[in-house]
Amino acid sequence: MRKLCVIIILLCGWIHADTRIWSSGTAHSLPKGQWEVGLFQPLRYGMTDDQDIALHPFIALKLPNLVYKKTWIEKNSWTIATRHGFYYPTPLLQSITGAGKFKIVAPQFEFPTLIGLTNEILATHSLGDGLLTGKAGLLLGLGGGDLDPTSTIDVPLVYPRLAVYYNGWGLRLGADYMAPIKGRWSGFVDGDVFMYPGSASALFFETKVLLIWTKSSRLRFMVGYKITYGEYPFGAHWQILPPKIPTLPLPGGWPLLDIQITW
Amino acid sequence: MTGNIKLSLLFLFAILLLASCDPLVTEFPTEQAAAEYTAKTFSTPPNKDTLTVVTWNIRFGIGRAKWFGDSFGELVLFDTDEIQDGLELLAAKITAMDADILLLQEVDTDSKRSAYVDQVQWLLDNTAMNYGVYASMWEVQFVPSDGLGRINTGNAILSRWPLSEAERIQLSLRGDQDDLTKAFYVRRNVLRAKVNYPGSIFWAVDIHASAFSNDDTKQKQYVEFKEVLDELDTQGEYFVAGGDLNQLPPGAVKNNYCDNDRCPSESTEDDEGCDFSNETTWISALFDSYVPAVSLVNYLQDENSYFTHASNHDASDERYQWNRKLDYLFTNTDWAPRSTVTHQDAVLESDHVAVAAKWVVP
Repeated sequence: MRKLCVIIILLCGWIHADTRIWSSGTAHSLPKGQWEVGLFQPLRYGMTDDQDIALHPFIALKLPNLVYKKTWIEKNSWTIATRHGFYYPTPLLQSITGAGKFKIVAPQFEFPTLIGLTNEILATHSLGDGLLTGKAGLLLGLGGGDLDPTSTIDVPLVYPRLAVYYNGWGLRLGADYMAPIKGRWSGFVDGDVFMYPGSASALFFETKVLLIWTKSSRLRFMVGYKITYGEYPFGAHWQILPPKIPTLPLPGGWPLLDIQITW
Repeated sequence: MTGNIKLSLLFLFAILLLASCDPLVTEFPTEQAAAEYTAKTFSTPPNKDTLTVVTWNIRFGIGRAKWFGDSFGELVLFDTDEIQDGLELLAAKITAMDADILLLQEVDTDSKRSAYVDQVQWLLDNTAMNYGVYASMWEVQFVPSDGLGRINTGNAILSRWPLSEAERIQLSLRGDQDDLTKAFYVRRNVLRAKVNYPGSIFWAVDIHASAFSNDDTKQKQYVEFKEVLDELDTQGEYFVAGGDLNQLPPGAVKNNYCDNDRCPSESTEDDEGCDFSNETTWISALFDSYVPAVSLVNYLQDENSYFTHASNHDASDERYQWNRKLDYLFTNTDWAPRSTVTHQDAVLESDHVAVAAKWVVP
């Protein structure tokens, strides 16, 4: 059961990995000394007014990770930043490899030391009442030269993020738009493209729509869905997330639900 | 935010809410049209007085590999080359048998364990079969156990002649599993299709019954299978039927295989589907009502020569040899006398033996 929780948290973390409704998905950095965390979002801390760091705390032991963001330019209605991430997925992959329930990689495979590095540039621009952010990044996966191509986890969200270790490198492009709707309600839409040139599974797309209800300046709730498309080893596939989970009572799929606090 | 953008956002959100039913696990209705296939190139079927009907559990093309699920093995996934080799062995035997109608079980169409090869299409394209229908018994986007991942496997009927009215009929689910396991587990079915043989249309009916249940699940499934056959028979239709019943013939001398099937690391508490001692009459009604390709009289005279299954795939182990009969053919008309062949010579193709018999075209 503990492993199932780890997997769910990991998946949900990935679902929300770039859903920083206050500033994490934008080129803005958290103000100095400010903290921000979500149920499924990273813990962020403003080191200075133009630098913050973030990590996913629930999975940090199994998937050591750290993201650093630096805001370089704030001029007129434009803000430019770069974001640099480090990931060490080997302990997590080893923990979910084996025989039995909730082992999602077959025991015939072994994972070497893998290091993931991401380097992105973000540009945020005021558009209407909201913020539009564009992103472009280079993904590097180190240590995956001997990975067995059959050892992939062929599911949305996961496959596109692990593909970099099989391909060695990739590109990520994306855009977010967040704006108030009415009163305490606001909306968020994003889209991300992962590209792995040279791979048979070369293109992945994810888009997310969230409705946000702001309780106070320290607390927000979010609900929404995500649509994914990808060229997986089994073929092209669209998927709405979360999917319907057997044994859960809701007839359709449960929506993404999240809570975010800052202090 | 402009009104149009707000409306668009709300509309998109509403669409997502309504469309959010993509299942992780496919739960099938009671009855459903089966998937239809055709070969890339057609072979002209010969005119015949008797048709060779074959039932074969093909073990998704992995031959006698040591798969974790049923043979003390540790292998879970196989690559394209391994699956291709297995399918070529199967196709060669199908061709050698000169099969006209194939009732297949454990055919993968979109499974990570078999490198996502669509085995129905592959077999159509590499044998003299022209038409196929398929009914999944296990369609899950991701099985969160043992690294199985995505799976779609089931029953298939292949034919030289056109198939129509193909239907998947759901069988009872296992009653001895917890809800979560049951939700992700196999959903057995009967697949039936009309074979449009010129001048004499008949039905082909294919079943793969539960393998590991310890309760009365299989008994229910046999009753349901017979109901399908009874319905056709009552309507005056001809049929050939068969499959992997995961059951011993009534009167079989040995009816407990738990010592044979138990892996070294397992205890008796782990035994599943190996003790048939309380099930000895569960398929008697099929023998009483219809014509088996192997009669019980013939079977009991020489059990060994009719065995169709082995539980170990290490050639140096005595359990590598065929040690029980699980696969059957029935009709409501006639098999050609002495035409049944239990192809025990095909030792590498699968953990099941193909059973073939010549059906006399009415």
